[in-house]
Order: sequence, then structure tokens, then C-alpha cells
Amino acid sequence: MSRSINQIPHAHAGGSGQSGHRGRSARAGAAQNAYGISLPNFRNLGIVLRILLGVHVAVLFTVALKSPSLYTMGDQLMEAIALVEPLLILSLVLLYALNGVLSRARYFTGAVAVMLLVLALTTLLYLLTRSHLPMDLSGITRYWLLVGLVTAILLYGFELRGRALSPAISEARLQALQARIRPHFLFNSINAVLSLIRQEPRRAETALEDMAELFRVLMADNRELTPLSREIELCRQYLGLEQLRLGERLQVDWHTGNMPADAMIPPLVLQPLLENAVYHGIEPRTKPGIISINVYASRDQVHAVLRNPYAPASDYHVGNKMALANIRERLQLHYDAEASLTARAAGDVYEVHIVIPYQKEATA
Amino acid sequence: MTDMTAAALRVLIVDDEAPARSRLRDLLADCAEKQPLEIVGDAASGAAALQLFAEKPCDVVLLDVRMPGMDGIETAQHLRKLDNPPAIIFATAYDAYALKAFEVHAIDYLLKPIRAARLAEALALAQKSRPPKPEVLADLRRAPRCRRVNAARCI
Repeated sequence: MSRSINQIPHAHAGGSGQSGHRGRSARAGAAQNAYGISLPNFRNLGIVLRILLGVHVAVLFTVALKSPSLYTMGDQLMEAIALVEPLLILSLVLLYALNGVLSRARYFTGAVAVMLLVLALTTLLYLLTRSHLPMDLSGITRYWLLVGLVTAILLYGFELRGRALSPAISEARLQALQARIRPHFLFNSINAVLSLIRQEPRRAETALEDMAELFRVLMADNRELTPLSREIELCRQYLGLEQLRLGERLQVDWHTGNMPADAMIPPLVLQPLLENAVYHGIEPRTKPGIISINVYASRDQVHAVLRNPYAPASDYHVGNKMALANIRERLQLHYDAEASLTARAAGDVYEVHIVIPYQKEATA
Repeated sequence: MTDMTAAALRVLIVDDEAPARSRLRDLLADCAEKQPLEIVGDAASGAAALQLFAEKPCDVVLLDVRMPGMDGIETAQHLRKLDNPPAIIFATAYDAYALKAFEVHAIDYLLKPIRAARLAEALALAQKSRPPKPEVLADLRRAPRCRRVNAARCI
């Protein structure tokens, strides 16, 4: 089990709405190991930002405690930051470089290694800044204590966060999200297949096969990343089923010739968006409408741009926003700040743009 | 009375999805064994349904709720206002519209996918609620005494 969880590289690193997690992580404490907690991914922008923020808050806190007045605080703060900054930046660079090794280590070993690394850097910097003096370590214990404490608090914070957002817990959330696949799609599709059975049994067979495959994915354990090509195939099967019902009203424009087929993405990121596009963009129209799907790689990112006709309707925003929020949360669970989802209505076209870091299967 | 119930129930199918219409045709064909009926036509939209009804009146309209343009509820509101309004049976994949459906006095509400037996029940309900034909009413008005005498004789 822990093997499969670890295959999601950043699954523990991200998410919002922290307030709700406290109770959950406390309950999860007893079975900590089952959640496959690992060190934070030091190459993730979100993690780096959180470390920077955490350290600076700690500096501010210590200076505020020490300063007799607000006037002297400014100077002391500058001094303290000048002292801390080289250590902080060096640590981050080293952690970035060693991230691969650290992530393969067991959690406890990794945490000790991080602690030792930071303390060693503290010692090194201490000696360098006092190189004109003879080797003297008498004043360093205070720094060790401070740096050690801040590192420990940060590690503990990341661990708590990782546990709260661990795939095992977010799995429950993911399943709740998936349960919201519109039931009308299932019933309308079954109805469409029923209508084919007498006249066109072969098409009915294909349709049922597509449905089986679609629902196998919808009901699967979706913690692991899936190749982009698989998700696109699923989208084709889904749209095939919708085409059955909607006929010429649904027209699909595929631009997937240049897509990075080997990119690993969270499953069911695109399909629900297409479901939205059909439900909100095509079904309310009397005339045929085009859904366009454009997937490409640019630098180290995979882009997916979905467009559908925009027909402002009363029920549009509620259902649509919920689906978008769901996908956004899942992207955050997987990639933290490195993935994004933007949606906008421009004229009579509604566009959703997803950006995901490009990871191939081998490195995932 | 007997010849009146024996008259085929005229049915109009309204659904924006072609497979759904063809499915209803199949089901109606199954029901036709027990309940004589005639499909007067099918329409892909509410507007088309109103036009078709004006040309070929019918007794029952099988009506989808969620359709582009004029939806099923609105179509039903229009149909109600006509002379000799048809009985409305909604057929939809959603159960969320049931309340609205009965506000427009639908006689039944079927959830897709529909079973032939359930459709037959709805049609039987439509048959029962079918108003007597105008010419029958006219006959009753013209010779009430005669009918009463006949009835007395029968007993």
C-alpha cells in the first residue's frame, strides 16, 4: 500500500482549507505509518515558499521577544535576517539538490538527515564568519538550539500537513468528488443503449463496452497518476457515448496530435470538464455546438485547453463551479502551487485551461 | 362506453434526443398489444410539439423535461391552455422535476430508462382520464330521456 502511495510524488504537498484538517490529523495519529508520510518535496515551489515564510516568522518572533521597544526592533530584525539568510538559502539549495536521495529514504532517517544537514551548515557558516578567530565553538550552541528548533517545528508542520492531506484521507474526498458524476449521464446513456439494442445491436455492444470502461475508471482507486494518452482515450469513449444521444448537435474538434502522450497526470481531470462542456455548453443549445480539445506540451508543462459554446443559463454557475473546484483541489493535492486551472467566458466561448508539470512515467 | 375505450389512444412523442424517441417508439409498440394506440408523430423540441399538436391532435403527450429552447414544463403549460388539452406524461432521467411536473397537472412522471410495464400503467391512467369525445357529449345532451329509459330497461 505504501508503495502505491509513494508513487504520487507530491501528493502530500499541497491543498487548502487547513482549518478542517486538524481534527482529522489528530485522529490519524494512531495509524501514522499507514499513511506513508514522507519528507516534503523540497523542489516544490509551495514547499519552498512555506519554508521561507516559516523561518522569517520565527526570526520576527525571536526578535520581538528580545527587543525592548519597537524602535530597536527594526535594526535587530535586519541584523537577524542578515544572519539567517545565508543559512536559509544554502539549506534550501542543498535540500533541493538532495531531494532525490532524501525522498527515497525512510521518513525518520530523512528527517534526521535534514536536521544534521542544517546544523552542519550552521556550524560551517559560524566558523566562516569567525575565521579570523582561532577555532572557537563556545558561542555556537545557542545557534544550534535556535536553528534546530525552527527546523524541527517546520518538519513537524510539514508532517502534520502531509498526514492531513495524505492520499489515504484525500482518497475519501476524491471518492466523494467522484460520486458526483452526474447520474443523468448514466441514465440517459443506458436509455440510449436500450434504444440501439433492437435496431443496431453492434453499436449497442460498442456503447456498452465504452460505458463499462468509463465506469471502471470512475469507480477505480484514483490515487495513482495515469498516462495522458489513457485519459484522452477515456475522453473519446465518453464523447462517443454522448454523441450517441446528441448526434449532430455535438461536434468535437480534437487537437491532440502534438500532445505528450507519456505525460503522467491525475486521472479524471479532463473527462469531468468535458461532461461539463456537454451539459452546460451543448445540451441547452438547439443548434449544433463545437467542443474543442487542445493538448500540448510547452517547456516542462502540459497544457490542456478545452473550449465549448457558452450559453449563460440560470443553473450554469452552481454545477460548473463545483466541478471546477473539485478538479482544482485535486490538482493542488497532487502538485501544490505547480499546477493551475483557469476558467473564463470570452464572448460566446467558455474556456478552461489546465497546466500540469510534465512528468514522464519513469520519473513519476 | 365500450367502443369509446376501444378507440386507439393517440400518442405524441417529444424528446430532443433521437435515441430516446426511438426507444419510446419501441416501448409503445410493446404496449400496443394490450392497449390499442396510435403514434401520431414525434417532435424534437417543445415548439415542434405544439405545431404538430395543432395539426394532429392527440390524447397523450410523452414529454421530456430537459430540452433546449422551450423545456418540457413550458411546453406542458402551453398545451394545457389549448382546447381539448392532451394528458401529459413526463419522461425524464431526473427525479428533481417531479414537483414542477405536477404543478402543470401531468398525470404521470416516468423515469428513464422506462420499463414497458410502467409505460403501460401510465397509458392506462391516461385512458381513464380521457374526456369523452365531443360528439358523445352532444348525443347525451340531445337525448337524455331516451338513454335513461334504455338504462332502466337494461336493469
